[in-house]
Amino acid sequence: MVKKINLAGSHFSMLVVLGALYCAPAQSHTKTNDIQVNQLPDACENYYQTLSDKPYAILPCFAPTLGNNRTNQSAIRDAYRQFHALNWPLSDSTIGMADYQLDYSQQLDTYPVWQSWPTVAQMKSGDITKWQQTSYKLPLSCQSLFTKNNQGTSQYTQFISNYPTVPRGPKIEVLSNSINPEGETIADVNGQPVYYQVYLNQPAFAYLTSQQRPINSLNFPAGQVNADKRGAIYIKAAWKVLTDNELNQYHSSFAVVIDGDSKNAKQCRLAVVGLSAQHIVSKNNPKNQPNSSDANKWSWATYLNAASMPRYSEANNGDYQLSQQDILPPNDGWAFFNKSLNELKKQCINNQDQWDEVLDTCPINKNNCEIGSKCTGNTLVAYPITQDKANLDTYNAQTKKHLPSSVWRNYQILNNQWLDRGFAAPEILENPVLEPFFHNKSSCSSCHSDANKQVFKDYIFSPGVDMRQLHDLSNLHKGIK
Amino acid sequence: MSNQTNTEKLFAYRDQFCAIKLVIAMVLDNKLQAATSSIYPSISGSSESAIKQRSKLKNLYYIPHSSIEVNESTVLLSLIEDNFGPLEKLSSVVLSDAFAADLVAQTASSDAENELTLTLGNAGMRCAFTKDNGVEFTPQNKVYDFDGQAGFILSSDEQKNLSLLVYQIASTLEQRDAVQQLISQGQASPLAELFGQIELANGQRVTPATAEQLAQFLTSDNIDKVTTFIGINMYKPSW
Repeated sequence: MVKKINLAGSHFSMLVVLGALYCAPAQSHTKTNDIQVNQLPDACENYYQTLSDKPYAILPCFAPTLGNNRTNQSAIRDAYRQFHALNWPLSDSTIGMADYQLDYSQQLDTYPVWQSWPTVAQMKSGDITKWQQTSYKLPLSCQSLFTKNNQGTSQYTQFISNYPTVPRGPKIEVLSNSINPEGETIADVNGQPVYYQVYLNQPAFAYLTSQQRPINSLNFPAGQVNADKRGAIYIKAAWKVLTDNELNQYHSSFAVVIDGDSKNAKQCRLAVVGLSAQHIVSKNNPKNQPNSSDANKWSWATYLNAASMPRYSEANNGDYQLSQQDILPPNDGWAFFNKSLNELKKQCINNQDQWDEVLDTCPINKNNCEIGSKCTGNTLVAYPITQDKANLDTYNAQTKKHLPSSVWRNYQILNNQWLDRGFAAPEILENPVLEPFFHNKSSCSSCHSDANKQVFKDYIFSPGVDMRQLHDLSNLHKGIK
Repeated sequence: MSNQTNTEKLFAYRDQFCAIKLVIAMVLDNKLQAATSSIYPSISGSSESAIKQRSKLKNLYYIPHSSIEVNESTVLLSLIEDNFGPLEKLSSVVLSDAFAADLVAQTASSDAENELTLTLGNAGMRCAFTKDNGVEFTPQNKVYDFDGQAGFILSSDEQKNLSLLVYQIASTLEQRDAVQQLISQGQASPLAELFGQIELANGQRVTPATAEQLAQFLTSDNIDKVTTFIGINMYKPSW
């Protein structure tokens, strides 16, 4: 018996389907529909004129490319605009469609557009094959949570009734992957692991589903400046299990969380999870010249919940330091830091009187969680922002100004890395939740170049294709970096 | 050379100087840069709205923010006095309407990055690094292909600092003359040292790496390379 969950419907009511395969009917994609689903400028009246002179305005549409005048400032601006557009509340009729009538700035939280997109896991497993599909398999260990009793309620319906402010949409998060790109896992101060999920937009989904198998290499569609055409977008989200006190700080969602590895029985539980960090990876840079040494046409924008961890400050001599002021916690404490400064000073200051994470005794930004076992939580500290600080501060302040009461005001753009004639700007960019142990030395684009080593996967490690459906063309693609 | 030619050259020089000033205004005020760049996507084409936005960009942003108090530039003051003799009442100069319109047209172009790289690079080269006030300066018309050369595009902070350095040298007679003398003597190391000593309007200095790279390029007779280096690193932090 296959159990599938369907949360679709005009009011996203939940329906558990037993037995037969259920697929929501696919909608035909007219041009208008494509423009709206992709939140292209034409879906918003006088988009460019409305934004002219209003760089900080927030709309449900965003530009398909970095434009003709690509600068770090405009890349950060586009990171700001795409973040808010993609967090716009979902309309109740179409997967990926923003509710253009709703005022995003007045929402306390949203079920964002991107959360309705298919996930890479669902693509790989073949659970979702149509864009509009809202039914998908749940792991066996989770199915009892949705089984209704004689009164017509289930553990799930009882659970969600306790959290009326948590947004609901057509899909529930199914979270089982807690391994980050370094092959490690991190946990918050409550010892709860962080879970990762990757979502893909309609152009990426349509491209993948249209490819004949086996696939020789991938070349996702890029946005086009004048054609009002959206390119592929992947979003990677890091979710943490929330305590009740944290609900007001995070964008939250209902999830089934599956713990345990292949050796241990998998356990499934219901949870309210919060978005800790996010990458928005968009193929929106077609002007990165094809003859350059690196023809990577993606940009990597990355975002962080401000309550995640403290940030080092810079001493006058340029050294990193951590002061009492730096570690002052937000209202409900840091998610990934609960050490005292005195304790850390003993552990992390070297004999030259400098902060030194490399010291064996220093727990900062080190892995101390064994995969699959209980963990007491990591001690994470973010690095000072040294590039584009004034622009980043301005855009992050504008988020707070435009969203007086929304949870989305608690997120910061860390930067948006893009390639300019083959060179990454900024050169170094990492998200302390998504790439916690690289010690400020990693770069999204250089790391993702590794994705192309066996098969040219267009810089995406896990595009949503089962590896058995890809040809190994390592010899053919030797020239492509 | 006739007086008329000199006067024409003076006004051409004024335009290039004011273009650098516009860069500096946007470098020092990120909200100004954000405002101007938010207009760019709406200025292409021949629609009434595009024409209106181009006019706004030119008249409300580019021209006003290119304004230079003549007294703030010893170079400009001396040039004006050479041409017209001492003037009783000096105020400020701004971009000419035609040059500002050119900047807007280049910004609207699908090849904006290359066109503006050349415009700003030529302006920087002429005003800061060419002897005799750039009378003999031949503008470059082709962007140098720096594909694969790491460090050619500086970090965003260094882009800003390089722009400020160019303006500082272009507007200070004493510094400009010292720089141009070292260039003519091909002395890269003392030139780099001098660049590193100049305190910029934001209180910073260019890093030794930037100073050395600029000095090396300026003394190597590869004019298209140095023009592109200066142009692209002035364009990126401002446009």
